[in-house]
Amino acid sequence: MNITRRDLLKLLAAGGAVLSLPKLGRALVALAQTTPDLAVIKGDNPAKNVRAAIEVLGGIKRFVSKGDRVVIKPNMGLGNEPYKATTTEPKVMRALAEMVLGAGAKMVMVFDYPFHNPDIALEVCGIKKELEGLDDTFVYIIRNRNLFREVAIPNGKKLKKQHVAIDILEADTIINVPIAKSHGSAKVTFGMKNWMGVVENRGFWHIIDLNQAIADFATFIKPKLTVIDATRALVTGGPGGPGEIASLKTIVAGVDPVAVDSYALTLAKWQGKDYKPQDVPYIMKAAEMGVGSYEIDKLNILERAV
Amino acid sequence: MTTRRAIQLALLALFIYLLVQTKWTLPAIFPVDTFLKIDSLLSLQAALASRSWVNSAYYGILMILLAVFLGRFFCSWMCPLGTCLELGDDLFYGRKKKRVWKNSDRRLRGVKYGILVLIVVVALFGQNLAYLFDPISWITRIFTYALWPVFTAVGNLAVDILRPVFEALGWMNLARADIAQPTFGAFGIVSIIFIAILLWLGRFQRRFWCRSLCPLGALYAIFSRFSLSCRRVSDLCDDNGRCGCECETGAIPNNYREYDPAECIQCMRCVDVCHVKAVKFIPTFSKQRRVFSFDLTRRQLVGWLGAGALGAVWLAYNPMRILLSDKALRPPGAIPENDFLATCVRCGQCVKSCPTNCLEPSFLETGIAGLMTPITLMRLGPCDQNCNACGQVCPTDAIRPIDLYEKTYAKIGNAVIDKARCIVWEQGKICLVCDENCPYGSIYWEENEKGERRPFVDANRCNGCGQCEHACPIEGSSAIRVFPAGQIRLKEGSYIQAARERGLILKSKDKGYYE
Repeated sequence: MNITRRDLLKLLAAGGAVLSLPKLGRALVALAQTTPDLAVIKGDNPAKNVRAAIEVLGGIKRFVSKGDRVVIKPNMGLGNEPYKATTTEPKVMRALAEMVLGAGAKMVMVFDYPFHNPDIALEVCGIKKELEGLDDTFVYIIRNRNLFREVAIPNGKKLKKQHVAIDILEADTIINVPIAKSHGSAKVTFGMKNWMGVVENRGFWHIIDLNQAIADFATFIKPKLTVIDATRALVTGGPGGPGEIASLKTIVAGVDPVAVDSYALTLAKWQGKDYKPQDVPYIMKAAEMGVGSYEIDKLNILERAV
Repeated sequence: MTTRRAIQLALLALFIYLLVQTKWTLPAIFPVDTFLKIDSLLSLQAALASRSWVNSAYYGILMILLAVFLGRFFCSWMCPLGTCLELGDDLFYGRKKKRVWKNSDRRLRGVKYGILVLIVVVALFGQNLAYLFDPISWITRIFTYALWPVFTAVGNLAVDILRPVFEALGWMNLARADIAQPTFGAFGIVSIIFIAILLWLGRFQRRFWCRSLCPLGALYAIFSRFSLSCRRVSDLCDDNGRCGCECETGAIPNNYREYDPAECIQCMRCVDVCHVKAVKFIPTFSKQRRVFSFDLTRRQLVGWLGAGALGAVWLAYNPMRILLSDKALRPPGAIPENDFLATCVRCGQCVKSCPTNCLEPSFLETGIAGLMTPITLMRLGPCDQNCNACGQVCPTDAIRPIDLYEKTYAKIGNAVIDKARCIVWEQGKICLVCDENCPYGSIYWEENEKGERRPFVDANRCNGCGQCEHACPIEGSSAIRVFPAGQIRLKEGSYIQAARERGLILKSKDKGYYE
């Protein structure tokens, strides 16, 4: 092996840097070794669960930088109270919003395009009330067509164009916080299907091909983090309920949207069945299109009870 | 500005405020239908035509008692339509200084009594015409159907225009503000035409409507003939005649010392304009100085009675209804149809209160007798399981004020799937949006041999709320529609019991179902 003078100088400089900042170096090494792909936290307190999950994944600063416009997208699609397990648990939203603000975010935007009456859903699902009093945090619904902009979906197979919420397009950081539910037509709804709440005319997805459209849109939207709220999971009768609710008291968080959804399948028997990723077409299609990996056996998953 | 004008404007502002507050969720302190409840004609109509007591009649009787003591004060101090017409008269025509007591008025001013007779006769036959002439009903409709959608549209437009400014200032709540935009069919235009005609009539006489047409004014006029608040002119009077010229309703004859207490609306203008301060209103039941000039003749009375009887028979026949009754979906809690048509005063409060815009004034969907009654058009919006505002704001309880739990059992109709249009049944697509939206779990699916999940409706679990019809993603009319078959309409008694007797399982609001 020939070592040129330039290489040697580089090596010495690098070595010097590592030696002069031993703490940082060790921290970086440790992070590379131990940060899991998925964090699965169980516990009675949903807010503690979500805080622990983010901590395990390297802390909120890994996802949010100072001055960011952060969108935290819950599921508040229905005019149902939280106990009905059809909308994201408000305490999870509160904990996340507090963490994001703590990381120096400029503003936190929490919105959905509900499929029940938007004004009623916003009031009844409890998220708006729970987030009251937080500075720079805005909870609202989008229905006005001027709040959507048409964009091309470059990698879409069937969904080539889509009107998407401007706030999503202009956000610096997007965090997806769905609730885990069974789903009549899509079998389950976790992270990727939650994006139906940021597009105008989602009914069109059903008309072209629901599973392909979900996968197509997943190639377009880039959430930095997906946090699945399985505090209560609607295992049958979803997504609208009424149905059987499993009190799983679990938070699943991760960066890879396909992996998070695939793991959530293992949390319960959805619609009375042990679904594998292969049984849920939109997960497989998204994996094929390179959105992420459904092979959760190969991932580093940290399960912990708090 | 006189005290009266200040009170008029304040009450008009209160009326508008209450109408704006007629929404989901209702303010807890003050009943938003106050102005409609104190309208004696509406409670008279509801009680006579449905042959039962209505709660708003307490207020109606109170107002009639007040008329005995204070005359037609309602017309000039409280009536929001009267205030609007007076403002319109001032704006468009000014005050014309001319004699207004004319014998030629005689026939015209009797018309209001005629209309009152017509309404009462029709009501005695169990039918309803009060809504077509009642001033408070009209002004509520004008503000609801004609002005509110314009207001919301302008408001949303302003937000759209100012959005960059709000965003630059960091006022995100304003930048994302969005008022639900309602649509009310053609009745906005109808209401505008109505008030335009009334304002145009002002060119002939001030308060033309109040003098000659208003049946509520006629009702109060009957009771104010010997009202305690009596006009008296002292000997200071120099026959200058300004009081006669400026009287709002032309209630002062050529002998300025007399007046017609049935025409007088107690506006006190004659007191204000008298340059020698000769005019006073004193408390007395004395018959002196009272003249009655504008009664119906016997012949006219018989004519109006006959017209009322004929009209009532025609309304009872109501031929259009049979043809179009599939669209006659009534809001939950609506009493049985015949009583509903008799009791509903078509004020539009329920329509205004509906947060999803599913309530609409009907045209001929429920027959000619159902003109402007509320029907639910589920394609526009569902009847949301969190809302019971329409029953709370109905002034005559044509829609009963039931709580949210009982509303669950007040079945509106049954959802029916149009399989020829359903994209799962017909095209094998992946949908079930109806199932997603159903709050009652009444839609279930069965997988066929190809793995397609096809929706079915369990009618025993269907409330008829129309979440499915509203959400169905196909274009045009929905592939799942609610029909009135199976609706529960009760005048009294519990919907919960009635629904359980029919074997219905309606559990959206049943907390026990979840825990």
